[in-house]
Amino acid sequence: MKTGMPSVEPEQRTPTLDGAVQVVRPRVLCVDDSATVRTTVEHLLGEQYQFDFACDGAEALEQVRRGAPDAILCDYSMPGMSGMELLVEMQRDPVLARIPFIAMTGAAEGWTASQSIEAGAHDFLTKPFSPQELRARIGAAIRSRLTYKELERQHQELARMHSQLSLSEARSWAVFQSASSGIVIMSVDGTIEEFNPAAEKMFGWKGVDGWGFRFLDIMVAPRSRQYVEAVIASVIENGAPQLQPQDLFGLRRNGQEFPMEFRITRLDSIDGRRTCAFVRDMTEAKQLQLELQQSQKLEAVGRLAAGIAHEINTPIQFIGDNTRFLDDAFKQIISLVQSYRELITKGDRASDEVHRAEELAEQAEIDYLAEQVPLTVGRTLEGVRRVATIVRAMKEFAHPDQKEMVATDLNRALQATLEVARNEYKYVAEVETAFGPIPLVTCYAGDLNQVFLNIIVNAAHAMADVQKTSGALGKLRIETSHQDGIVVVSIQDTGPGIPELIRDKIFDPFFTTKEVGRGTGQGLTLARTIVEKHHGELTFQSTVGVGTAFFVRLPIDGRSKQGGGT
Amino acid sequence: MKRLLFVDDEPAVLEGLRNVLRSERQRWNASFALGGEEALAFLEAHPVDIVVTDMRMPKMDGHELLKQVRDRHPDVIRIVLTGYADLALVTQTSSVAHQHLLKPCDFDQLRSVLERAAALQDLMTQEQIRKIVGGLGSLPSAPQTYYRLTQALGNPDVEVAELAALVEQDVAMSSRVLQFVNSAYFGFAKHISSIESAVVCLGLNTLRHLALTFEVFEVFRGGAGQFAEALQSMERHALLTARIARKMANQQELAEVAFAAGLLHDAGKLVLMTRMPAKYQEVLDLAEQEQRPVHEAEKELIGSDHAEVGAYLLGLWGLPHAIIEPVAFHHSWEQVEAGSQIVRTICFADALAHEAMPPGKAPVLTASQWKTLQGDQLLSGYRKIAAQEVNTLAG
Repeated sequence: MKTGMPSVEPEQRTPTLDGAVQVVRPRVLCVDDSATVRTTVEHLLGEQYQFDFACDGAEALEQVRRGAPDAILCDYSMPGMSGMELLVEMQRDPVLARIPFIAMTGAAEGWTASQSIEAGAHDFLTKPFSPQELRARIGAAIRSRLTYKELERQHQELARMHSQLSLSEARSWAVFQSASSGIVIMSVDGTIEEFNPAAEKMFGWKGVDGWGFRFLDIMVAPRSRQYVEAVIASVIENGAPQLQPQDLFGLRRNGQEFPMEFRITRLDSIDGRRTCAFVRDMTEAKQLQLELQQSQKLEAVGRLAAGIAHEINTPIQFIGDNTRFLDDAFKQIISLVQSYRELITKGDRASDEVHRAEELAEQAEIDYLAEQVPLTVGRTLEGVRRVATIVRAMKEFAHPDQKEMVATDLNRALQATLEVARNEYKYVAEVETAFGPIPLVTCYAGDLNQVFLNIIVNAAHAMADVQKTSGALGKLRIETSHQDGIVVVSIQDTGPGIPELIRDKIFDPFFTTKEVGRGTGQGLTLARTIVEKHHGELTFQSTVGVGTAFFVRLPIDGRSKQGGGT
Repeated sequence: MKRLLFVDDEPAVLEGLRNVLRSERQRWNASFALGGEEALAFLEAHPVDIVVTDMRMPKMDGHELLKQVRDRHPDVIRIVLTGYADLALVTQTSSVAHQHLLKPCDFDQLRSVLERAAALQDLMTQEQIRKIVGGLGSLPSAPQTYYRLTQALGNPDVEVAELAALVEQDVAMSSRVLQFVNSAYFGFAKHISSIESAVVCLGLNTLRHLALTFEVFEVFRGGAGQFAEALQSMERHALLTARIARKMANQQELAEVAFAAGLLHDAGKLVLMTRMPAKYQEVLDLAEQEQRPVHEAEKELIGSDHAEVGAYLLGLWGLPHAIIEPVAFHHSWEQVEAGSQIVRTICFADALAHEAMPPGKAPVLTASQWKTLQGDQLLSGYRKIAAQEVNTLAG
């Protein structure tokens, strides 16, 4: 905005369309009944100003109403409407009243200077006047007129800016109030000055409660504080963060941590510098992403399992068949050998052939072989069966073909899951199953297997912790039962139990007690999501020092807790 | 001696089978072919009773091989033994294979499946019937029911119960669903005899695949004409029998078996009508002229009746014994008397349905037979049930 005073030069420069500067002379209306005066004035100042003329007040008024001049030079006494009458008339009109009015009087006339000024005139001039005086008075009037015009322009500009500002303010307010991101405004030292409803909801701080605290202390999880502090400092200094983005965690008032997306900008205003943080709660987004990853992973595993199963099943088929054949063949050979040996005992003991045959039989430990080989074959067949079971379990566990709910035998699903997870628990616990007679449950079997696997693996880890200190083998007990359309699967361990303090947190996303690499902290969250998708319940009971039992309750039709339609 | 042919692209698998089958060499003569083409060549040159083939093989796969076997040697029983389990391929193959076994298959299991198939074959002495039944892919479905099922399957939010209700109305679909759900591919621990449970266990996705293999009855459209009415009334009778049988069975699990057996009890008629229409016309004429039961006329002119044919077919498909038994015996009085509860129920429901169905037929059973079966005091109650069911179906 141009705020300087108007040029003293009584000229206005206006750029024309072709870019040249056209000099516009200020317009002056000269009102006098004397042609001599009019001519003289124009003669004296015609180069500087553009003159219009009127012979009396009425004519002048008409002209003024058609287009306002920049100044009026008016004789006092005229026939018809006098100068005084014109002045009074013009003062009634707020626009015309702004035009500088110079009253001219003869020395003998009664219209005195003070009277005319009181009536609203800008200045007065007593005839006869010197050309210098005339020039000076008109110049002053024009300057005042231009100053006024400039002020008015500035005033309009200010009004326009004010209305823009208030719109912008309203807009910011609306954004601030209704944004889904949390917005926190803080001073340069990180003290919270204000935050929006989304932030209230996200962090659990109600309105003014949070003001005056440091953002870092109450809204950022300890593990992310160092990084966030660095980002804020860098933004304050450079206007933009100059650090690699990182996974960050926010902190709710209740102590819960959550993954957040964090952005910060610097706010510079007349009353100082602030920062403004934008925070998004990424819990749900991360959750969805993880679920997607998980299901993609499962699908890939399923596909792989089906492929591997085919590859393994073919050799298993002929290993099994051949082993069985060896068994039959050996038994036949042995019985043949036995009958030969009987023959030999009846033969001539002194002959070389008989002696040699007996020696060979002794070397080969025929009796031992006759006993051991069938046992060995039996064990081999058992091994083959186990491999087959594992491969089948792997395939059943993953269910690569299943995209909708299907009636499933959960006892069999649990058996398959136990098979798949065997490696996790076999050295830390013995398994006890009590599978009750339960009806088929309509479910996403692959997803539920994932739930069982999570709980079983958690149990195995818990019992491994106990074993490290006590050396005792734990017990993993899995039970199924059915009542009133609800199937209950309980998975019990003899681990250390879940401490009271964290019991209400174990289903929170990203909560984990395991060291890095052993758990992601989403297993139980996912498990609960899956169980709830089946309209079931996932609960637990835990006694420190005794163990934990998880209960999965599922309606058999996959819909409602009553087992009927929803 | 039964002649078996094993087909695989893996020599070691054949070798293993040869070894393990050695113990059965007294009763089974096993041959081995490395791949589909070799198998077909062998079949051209030698008689074979049962073919057991792998599914995934280079050049000619198991599905293609079994299709050729079905067309060229329809009386050969076709069994798949595979480690591969892609749903689409398995459903496809299930329409040409009688049984489905999964590798690794324990020899005891293989042996019992082979024994059962061999026994079935021995029971069905009519070579002609063996060829007709063996040449079937699936039974033909009524087009209206098939159309409604495909419509329902196209709806992503369809309820499984709704699908089950549709499948239950059709003899062909019900038999295929029961065949598939009881195959080793699913490996359910128990036989599934309820059509509704079968549909629920298969689920929407599998049912969609399976529906692609259903065949539709051209005759129902009135094209081939002569049996259009007889077939329709047969389907109506089957459904009515099934519903009466379900009501008669006094306990939930038995009720579902009774329904399935009732629905399928005349499956053999469906085979005979569509596969040997000219001969079957003679059968119907004979029964009409001499006022004799149809199954007697069948026996006289074809050498086998629809009960035997139906039982043979469902047996080949590996349906549960509880369903096959009443199908096989519902017309042989000694068996009904000596047989299980379910056989009696179906025999009785069949008779009630014949009586109740308009225009109504002469009683199939004699008064003393009625009496033997259920006792007089129950009969009026059952007749009421039958009348109710006729109304329900008509409404």
